[in-house]
Parts: sequence; structure tokens; C-alpha cells
Amino acid sequence: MKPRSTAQKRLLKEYQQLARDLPPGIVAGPISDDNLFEWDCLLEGPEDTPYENGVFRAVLKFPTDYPLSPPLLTFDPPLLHPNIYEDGTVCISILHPPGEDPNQYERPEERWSPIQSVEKILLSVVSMLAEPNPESGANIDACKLWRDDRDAFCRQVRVQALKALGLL
Amino acid sequence: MASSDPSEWLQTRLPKLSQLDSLQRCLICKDFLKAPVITSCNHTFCSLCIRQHLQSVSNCPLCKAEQFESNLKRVIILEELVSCFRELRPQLLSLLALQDSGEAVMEPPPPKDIEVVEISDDDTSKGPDLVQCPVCSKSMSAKHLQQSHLDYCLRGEVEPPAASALLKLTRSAKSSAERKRGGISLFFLAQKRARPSPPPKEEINHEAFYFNEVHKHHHEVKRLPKIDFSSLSTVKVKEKLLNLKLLTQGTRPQLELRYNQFYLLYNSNIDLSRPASELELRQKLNQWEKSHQGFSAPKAGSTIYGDELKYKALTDKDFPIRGWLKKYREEFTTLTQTARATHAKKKASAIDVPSGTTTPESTTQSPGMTTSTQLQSSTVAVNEVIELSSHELEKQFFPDSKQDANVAAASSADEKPHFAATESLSPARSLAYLGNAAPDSALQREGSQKIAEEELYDFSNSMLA
Repeated sequence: MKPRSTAQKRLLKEYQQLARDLPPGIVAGPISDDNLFEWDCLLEGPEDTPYENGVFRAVLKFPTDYPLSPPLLTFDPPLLHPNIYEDGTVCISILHPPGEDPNQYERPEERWSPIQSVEKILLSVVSMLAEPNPESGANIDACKLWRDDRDAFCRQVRVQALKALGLL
Repeated sequence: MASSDPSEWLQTRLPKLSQLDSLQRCLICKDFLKAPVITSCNHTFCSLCIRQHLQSVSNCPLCKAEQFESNLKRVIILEELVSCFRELRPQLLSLLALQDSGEAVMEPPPPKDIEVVEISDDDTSKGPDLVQCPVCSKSMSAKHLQQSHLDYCLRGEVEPPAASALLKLTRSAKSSAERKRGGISLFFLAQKRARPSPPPKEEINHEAFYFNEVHKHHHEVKRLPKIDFSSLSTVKVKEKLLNLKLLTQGTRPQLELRYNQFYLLYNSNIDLSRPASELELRQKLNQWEKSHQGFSAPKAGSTIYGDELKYKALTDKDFPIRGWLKKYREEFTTLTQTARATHAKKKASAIDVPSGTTTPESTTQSPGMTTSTQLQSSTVAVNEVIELSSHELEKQFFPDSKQDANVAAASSADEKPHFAATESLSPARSLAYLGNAAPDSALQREGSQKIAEEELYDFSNSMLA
């Protein structure tokens, strides 16, 4: 067996801790025993939002130098949200690599740092679902819809939520 | 050792110990602090973890204050505290475990279980190392079997059921009594006395180490220097590795990776109170190489993010440039076109990153240029791109760059630097920018597609040459 790398050790630890003490509405774990670098996550849509009562699947892909570099989070199937790209990739500051942003766009303390964890990422994603940030939109159509026609936006999200649950 | 975590304390009688546990861990690896060092902003990490982090980013992971490797200071007392706690941890956990101590003491266990459930009244008999009695084939700890059970069993007696507390109290009295009786247990006792088993681990007196053995606190070892590889020939690099008794085979990037990792291992090892030998460090290095993909057989487009390309490796010499160009061809096109637009409008836009890197070369090109000058200029462009920090690259070449480019296009139409726009605008206005950007850039893209493609071709040629 190959020796465990720092990344693997840390991922294992995070998984153990998550398994013991899971935040409400979140389930996450590695897809298989021999690949700790890919996790399956299930997120419950936050209450009082169009995502309420939905359960959404997302995939976390960790780089081999985790936790020095952040993982990628992708909703599968993609979710309609101003901060989620059309391919499902989530765009939030906590998942952006550390260091100075040349655009002075995100404050460094909001960005990835090795002290972040899977739990913190998933919690921020749930709060992102509840409060979209149209200022740094990822999906322009979703941004426009969210801004101009909130009802239509909610309807589309409801349809997606039902589809994700296999009810439509 | 199985991996442990602070939440294990939550099920004990002192759940607050999880805080004590947690505070002794490194925020980067989540394990107990190993060779703890403190930053100039007074935050503590494992020496190796923080040194690794500082190789790519010069800030504290916790508070983001600017940080340099040279400012790290060893915290000797913390290392001793942590190792002290780590040694006590398993015992503390079992002592404070709710079900064991709470119930077992209250109600005496049924007599049948008495041989099976041996109390761990000393260090050596704990754990699931149960053996079967050769006479009655009940399982129990080896020590219990040898010291008392076997005597009873051979005499055909039933071992008197003793409450665990009683057993503990009468242990010394009983064994001396048995010695007089001449039971078989004498054999084991005698053997034990004749050849005392060496302690499994050298007991370290942390208190004595800290207070009385000050001369051992500092190691007369110089740290390894950082190497500026760009100014060294491969022969020189190999010479350096050889001086450190490291392997010299492999490609140039592998040699550099090897030195850098050894540099980290070596310098963080010095921060330990009881450093490992260089031989152990070299073994660790070999292990690391086995798990590091920079040393696995080169695959086309080998990656860190599954099928995504590794943006960080852009600075590596063995970066799969062809695959990268293929993948980001479209982004390149958009960026080039954005750069042209910006450049046409405003000659000097110092803050605009995309135009800053690609504009000077690409815009001065005219269709009638000779191939060699084109090649030359695009090489410069590529080099410039490679010189960029990984962070900027991420911004430019990862999916969100699409949006950035659009914003840039939109703002350049308004003669405004694009981040100033996004930063200061209200949500509604910046959205309008985003919305307007799409048709504009689509039009421009068509026009510049061809030129950009030529450029890409030249890029790849010059890089592969």
C-alpha cells in the first residue's frame, strides 16, 4: 500500500469528525474507500428559500496538495443559482485559492486557507443558497432572472428541486 | 496509530477536554502539533505544515497577516506539552469513558465474565490481546493467565470471583502467596525477572527535559538554504543533491521537487526537540516521492483535479502545454480579444491584468509580420503568462474568467477599468454590465478568432521547440 499523504490523512480526519458530528441538513463522505479525493455530498435546501425541501447532490474534488489548495465543488445536476455556473461549479470566495486578489475583489480573509474545512465549505454553500450574491454572479441568466423576475426564478428552482428528488 | 480527533472526548465524563485536545492541534493538518512553531502574528502550526504553506502563500492561514519562513520560532514547551498529553490521552480516554467506569464499578459483573473482562490495572495488559487458557480454553489476558488463572485451573479449582477493585488491591499479596505455594505461575515470574522485557518506548521525562536538560534544546545544525534553481545548471543541482546524499536520477523538475521537499523536511526536523536522523529524513523523502504524482510515470495531462488541468503546474517545466492550450483555447481567444479592445481604447491600463500580460505583444502584431517575429513575440507572451503567480492564473484561466472577460469587455466599452466597475457599482448596475457584455463580446470574438488561433498555434510551437 502506498504511504498515506498529508492530504489523505487530513481528509480521513475530516471525514471521521463529520461522521461523528454532522451539521443538520448536510451529509458528506468519500465516494469510495480507496479514493479519498472525491466526495459525495447531499445538501438540504435551506428553509424559507425556493430551495426549501429540496435535497441537492454535489461532488467535492480535492487536489493532491489539499489543504494548501481548495477543493472544487460541483452540483450534479447543476442548480439554478446566481453563484453557480451553468455546469454546476460553485463560485464562492471560500473556494478561491489564497493570496492577494489582483482585482481587490474579494478580501483575503474570505478566501481559501488551509484552516478551512469541508464542514465550513458546505455550511457556506448552504448559506449561499439562502442568500445569493449577485455582485459576483457566475450564472448571468440566473442573476438576471433572480433580479428581474423572482417568481419565475423560484418556479424554475422548484422544478429543479422536484426533479432532483425524482418527483417530476 | 489510528487517527484521533477532539470529538472523542464528547462522549466522556469531561467533554470539555475536546477543547484542550483541539487547541493542541495544527489547523493545517488537524493532527497534534509536531515541532510547533509560532509566527510573528503569534499563531502556532506544525513546522512542516506552515513551511509548506508559506512556499506558495506568504501569509498566516489563520489571520492572513504577512508571514515569512525566517520569522518562525520554535516553541519548545508546547512541543513537550503536546507530547505529554498525547502519551496520556489513551489512558485518560479509557478512564473517563462513560459506560466503562460508570457501570462496571457500580454493579459487579456476573461471575461468568470474570475471566474474560480483565481490568487493565497496568499498562501492559490493556488492549484486546486475549489468549486462551490451555486447560479450560477461556480467553483472558496473557498476564492474568500466567499470574493466577493457570494455577487455579491446573489444581482443578475455580478461580475465586473477585471484584475488579479487590483484585487490584490484593494483587501483590496474592502473588507472593502463590509463590510460596509453588504454582506454575512461578515459571513466568522467574522468566520475567531473569530477562526483563525492554520498555516498548523510551520513557521521556518532559519536565526534566524542559527544566534540566537545557543543553539539549538547541541543535548545532544549520538550516538548508533555499535554492534559486534558475541560476543553476542541472549538473550543479545534482552536485547539491549528492552532497546531501540524495538521489540524483530523474528529470530536472523532479530534482528540484526533491530538493525542495528535503529542504522542508530538513528544516522542520530541526524544530523538533528530538530530531530524526538524516537517514530517517531520506526515508521520508523516498516515501513522499512514492505518493507524489510529480514522480509517477508522466501521463499526458496528468492532473490534480481529476480531469481538470493543474493550474499550479503551469510554472513546472514538464507542464503539459499542449493539453493546456487545447483546453483553454476559448478563454485565450476571449482574453486576447478583450486585450485588444482595451488596448485600442486606452494605451496604458496598468491595473488590467489580462491586457497587461498579452496586449503589448499581441496588439502590435500586424497580419504582414514575418513568422519569426511572430514566434518571438508569442514566446515572450507565453513566458510572461508563465511568470504570473498561480493565483492570477487561476483568475484568468479558470471558469470564472469568462465572466471577468465579459465584465472587462463591457467596462472597456465605457472606458472604465473593470474591477473598479464591479467593486463600486450597485448590484443592479453591475448586473446590467454583465448583461450587456454578452452580445458585444460575441461579436468581437468572431473577428479575432482567426488571429488568436494563429497565435495559439505559435504558442504551442515555440513552447514545444
